[in-house]
Amino acid sequence: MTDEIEHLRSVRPPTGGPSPALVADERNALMAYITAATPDATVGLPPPRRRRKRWLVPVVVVAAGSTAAAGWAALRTDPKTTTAVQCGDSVVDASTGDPVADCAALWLRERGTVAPPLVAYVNPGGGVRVIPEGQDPGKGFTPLARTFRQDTALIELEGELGDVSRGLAAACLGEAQARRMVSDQLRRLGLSGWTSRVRADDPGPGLRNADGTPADGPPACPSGAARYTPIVHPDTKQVELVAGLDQGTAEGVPYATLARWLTDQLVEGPDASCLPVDQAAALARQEAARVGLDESKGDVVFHVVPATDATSPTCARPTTTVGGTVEVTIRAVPR
Amino acid sequence: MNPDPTDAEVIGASGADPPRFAVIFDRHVASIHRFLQRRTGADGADSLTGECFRIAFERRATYQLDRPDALPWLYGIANNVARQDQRGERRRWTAQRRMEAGVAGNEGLVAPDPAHDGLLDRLDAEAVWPAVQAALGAMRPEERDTILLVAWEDLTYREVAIALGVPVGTVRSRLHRARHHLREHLEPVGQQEGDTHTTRNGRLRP
Repeated sequence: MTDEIEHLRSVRPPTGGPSPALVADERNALMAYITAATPDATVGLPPPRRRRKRWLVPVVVVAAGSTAAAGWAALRTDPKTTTAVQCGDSVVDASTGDPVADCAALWLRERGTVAPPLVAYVNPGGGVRVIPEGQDPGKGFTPLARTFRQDTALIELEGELGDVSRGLAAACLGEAQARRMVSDQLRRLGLSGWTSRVRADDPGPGLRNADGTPADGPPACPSGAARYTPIVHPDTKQVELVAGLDQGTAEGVPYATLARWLTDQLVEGPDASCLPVDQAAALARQEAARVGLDESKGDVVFHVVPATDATSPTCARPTTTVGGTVEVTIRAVPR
Repeated sequence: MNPDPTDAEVIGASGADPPRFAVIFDRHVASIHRFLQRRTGADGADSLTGECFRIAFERRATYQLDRPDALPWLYGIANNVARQDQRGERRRWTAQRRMEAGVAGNEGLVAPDPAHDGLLDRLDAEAVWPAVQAALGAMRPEERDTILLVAWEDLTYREVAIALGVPVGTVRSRLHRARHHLREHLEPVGQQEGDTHTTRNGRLRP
C-alpha cells in the first residue's frame, strides 16, 4: 500500500507548543474551576468524599445544607476567618495571614519576578481577593486595609489537622481519639470556646481500579475507626469531623516520606529539635530533594512563615498538606 | 499511590481529591495544545485547550481506570471540542490556507520539524499540500479525524479507537476509506511533481 500516512505526516502543520504564560493561565483557570465546581457537586448530591485542601469560593453562593462547603460557605463570612485567598484567578491556601504577602509570594514563584503593588479586596461573601493595584476587582468587591490580616490560628489549625503525617486522616482513629486531637490543637493555638463533633458520612463507592480495589491510598480502616476530614466552622466555633472522606496516603509516596521526616525531626520524634525557621526550611528542602520532590519543577512548594513577634523564642513547626500541589509550611511558633 | 502514578491512578485519586487532576493537565497540556493547534489554528488552540481539560475533569468519573495512559481519552475530548467549535472549523481551514501561503512558521509551508526538516521534505510538502488539503476537506469528518489522529498525533489504532469511542475495526475501515480518498487526490500530484523534480524515494508516487 502506498504510504498516504507518510504524505500526511510530511505536511503535519508545525506547532510551537503552548507558551509558558498560556500554560500558567490555563492551569490557574482549571484549578479555580475545580475548586469552584467541587462544592457545587455536593449540593443535593451524595456527600463529598474527601477534601484535603480548603479553598475559598470566589463568590460564595451555596445552598443551605451543603456539607463540605459549609466551612467557608456561610452567606457572609468574616474575611478574617477565611483561610484561603484568591490571587488573581488562582485560589490558594493562606500561609502568613497577610493576603497581599501570600499573593506576592505566589507571583514570584509562578512568574519569577517581583509582584507589582497589590491590593486586597473582600467580596460579598467575605472571600478575599488580591489583584494588582489599578485593576478592577469586579462588582461588589470592597478594598481591605493594608493592615488586614486573616486569623493565623485558623490557618495553622487547618494545616495541622490536615497534615499528611500527623493529621486526622494520617491514621485510623476512633471518634474519641479524633476529637482529642482536635481539642489538643485548639488548646495549643489558643482557640477557646470551640467544640468538635463527628459526623459519619457514607463516602460512596468512590473511584476504583478495574479490579474493584480503591483507586488510591492505604487499606481501609477497621470497624470502629476512620480517617477524618476536618471542616472548620469559624462562625459557630466548631470543628466538624467527617469520617470516610479521606482515604489517607499510602506509605512510600515521596511527600508522605517528607511529611513523616519533618514531623519526626521537628515535632514529635524522640530527637525532635527546636530550630529556627530558616534552618528548618533548609533541611526540609534538602530532604525534599532527597526523596525526589523537585521544588523548581513545582513538585513541592515551601512557605516559610517567620514569627511576628521577634522577641519571643520560637521553634519551627512544619505542616505538609496536599491538594493540587504538595505544600510544606514551616512556621515559627512559640516555644 | 506510586511515586510516579499512572494517569489512571491520578484520575482515580482525583475523584476524592479533585485538585490532583492538575497532574493530568501538567502531563498532557502540550500534546493537547499541539493537537488543537493543528486542527484549529493557534488562536483556536489557545482558547480551546482549557475547555478541553475542564470537560475532562467533569468526565473523570467515567474514565476507565484500566487504561493507564489518558492521552487517547484526552484526544477524543479535544477532537470533539474542536469539532463542536464552528469557529474552529473555519479556523482550521483558514490556518491551513495561511500555511499554504507560507505565513505559518515564517519559513515556507512547513517549518523545520525534527522528523521532516530536510529541504527535499519541504519541497515534497509544498508539492503535496494543496492535494492533501483538498482531500482532507472532502473527507467525511469521522474519516478525517481518524486519519489525522494516526498521521499527525501518531496514535495507534487502539488509541484512536479509545479517543473516538469506536471499535478498532471501525478505525481500520475508516482509515481504509480515508487512505483511498487521499490516494485519489495525491496520485495526480505525484505524477505531475515527479515530472518536475525528483522526490526522495519517489514518495509522492503511489
